[in-house]
Formats: sequence, C-alpha cells, structure tokens
Amino acid sequence: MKLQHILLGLPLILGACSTVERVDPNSDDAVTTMGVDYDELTEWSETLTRRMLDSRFLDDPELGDHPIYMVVSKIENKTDLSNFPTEVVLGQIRASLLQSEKVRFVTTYGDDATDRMTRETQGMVDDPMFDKDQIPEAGQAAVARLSLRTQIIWIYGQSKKEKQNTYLVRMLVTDVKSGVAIWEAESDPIAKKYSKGGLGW
Amino acid sequence: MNRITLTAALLASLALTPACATGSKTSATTPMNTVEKENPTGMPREEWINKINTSEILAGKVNVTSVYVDWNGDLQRIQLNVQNDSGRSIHVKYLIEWFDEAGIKLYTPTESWNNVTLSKGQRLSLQGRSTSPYAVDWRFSVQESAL
Repeated sequence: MKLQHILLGLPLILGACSTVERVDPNSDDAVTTMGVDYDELTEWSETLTRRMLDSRFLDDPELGDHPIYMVVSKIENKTDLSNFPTEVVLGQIRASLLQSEKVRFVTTYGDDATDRMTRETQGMVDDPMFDKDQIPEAGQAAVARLSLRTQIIWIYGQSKKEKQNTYLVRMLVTDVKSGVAIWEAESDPIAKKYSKGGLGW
Repeated sequence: MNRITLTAALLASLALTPACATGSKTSATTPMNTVEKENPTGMPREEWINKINTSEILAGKVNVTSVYVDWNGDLQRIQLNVQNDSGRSIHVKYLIEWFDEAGIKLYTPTESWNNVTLSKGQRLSLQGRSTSPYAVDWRFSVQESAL
C-alpha cells in the first residue's frame, strides 16, 4: 500500500473508535452543547426557587395561611430550541416549593403537568358503576390564589469567527385576586460561545 | 515517493479531519478590585465551620472566610463568603447538601453543582437555601471546574 493511501485513510481510521458511556449529567464529563444542558436547568431551578423564597412574598399574611395555592400559567419558549425542556425547571421548582410547605400547586388547570382525574372523578357521579359516596361533592376543588408565569428568553450574538447563545428564564407571580404581579425575577444568564477552529489539531 | 504527492496527501488528510470547534460558556478572566464598608451595618449570625481539605492545592485557592446563617420561618439559608487567593482567575463549582436532625441527607429537588468564576483576588458570596423545614445541617463542597 502506498503511503498516500494510508494518509488519505487516516481520518476514517481516527473516526472509527466510537463508544457510549454513562456519565453524571452534573459533572464535567457531560456534553456541553450550544443550548442549555441538564445541570444548567437545575442551576436555574435552584436560583429561582431561592430568589422566590428569599423575597418572602409567600409569607405575606394577606395571602392567607400556608400552603398557598398556586397554578402554573403559560410557559413561553422564546428560544431557538423548539423542544426546550421547560418541564425540568418547572418540575424542580414545584417540588421545592411543595417541600417548603409554603405552596401547593393546583393540577386541575394550568399549563404544566395538569391531571384530568379530578374532573373525571367528578364526572362519574351519575355512572352506576361507581359508589357515589366516594365521589367528592361538587364545588370542593381548590382555586389558585397565585399564578406562576414563565418566559424562556434567548439572545443571539455573532461575530466573524464566533457566535454566542445566551439564555435566561424570566418568572413572575401574580395575585389572581388583584391581577397584580407580586414577585418578579430572572435567572442568571447561561451563555455559550462557539468558536470554530481552522484545522483539527 | 514524489514529495509533491506526499504533501498533497498530507494536506488532504488534514482537510478531511474534523475541525476542532468548541462550545463553551464564556468566562471573565480580568482581575478585580472590591470596595466595601469598613463597618457593615448588618449583623450576620456567623457559623463555626470545620474545614475538611482533601486538596491542599485547592485549599490555597478558594478560601471560605466566613459563613452566615439565617432562618426564614422554618427554612434555613446560608451564605459562604469565599475569596480567590490563587493569584489567577479560576472556575469552580460548588455543592450544598442539607441534612435533617438525624443526620440523614434530605432530598433536594434542585441539588446540583453550581458553577462560578472567581477573578483574581475576588471575594464572592455563595448562597444556599434549604427547601425543607426539616433541614438543620449543611455541607459545602467546592471543586475546581472546567466550566
């Protein structure tokens, strides 16, 4: 075989050894993408939960005793990623607030992880298949006092050799009794810069 | 072998090899000056701490100078005041874990390593908040990171 044939085949040989391994998504072994990675979603959740609890608006006696009922309102994805996993951020924030014993989320309506079973159970009242005594009386479902609205924001920048994606989350909580926002915050931005090299060395 | 053919083959090989493009978070590497009140008005409740250093190299870089604690109702929050004594800008990641009265680690939905860049000489306050009213103790871990 001629030497030039070996050299031409070199990229194929180098690219042949592919492996799959399990990694900790919170570690440095995880893939860094130009989007928002799992550990960064968790970082956002932690920051926003902390900011929400630090502001102490949930302790306002005007809102009544704990837990206060909250509903997830519209989640707006304003990024370049069509399948942005908002469920991760919302799920972690919801779980944290529930754990704090200050908030409970209404699941009968809203824009995240709603559960139709409450409504369906109510609808079974005239179905002879079920024991009527076990069907909850009408008018008992909780109405949320607070509404949590979310926007995922994307800022794009580009120079001759580099491009950058910056993402952040904006959240606001509205008191549905008055329609006034009583808490607003943004996450810390996550910025990713892409630099294209000339040669692969 | 003809030298021109060999050179051409080598160049073709280089061109076919994927270029090393990277996707990374941006970082600030400029040294920093800090100014603050000589006698702060706030009276934080300082926590006694026990440092367990497994890396003497890192111990000389990121120093926890003090820890403040505060209770918001049943929920505890802490602030670790750290200083970068490494003589250069570094990326670190940190983790705060929470424990109940029995010393058992609590499930924290948002627990993860948080990344932060510390400029040369920078003092920074890192915060953590327990989301469980059963949390009474905490543990802070810090590690140099690639960011």
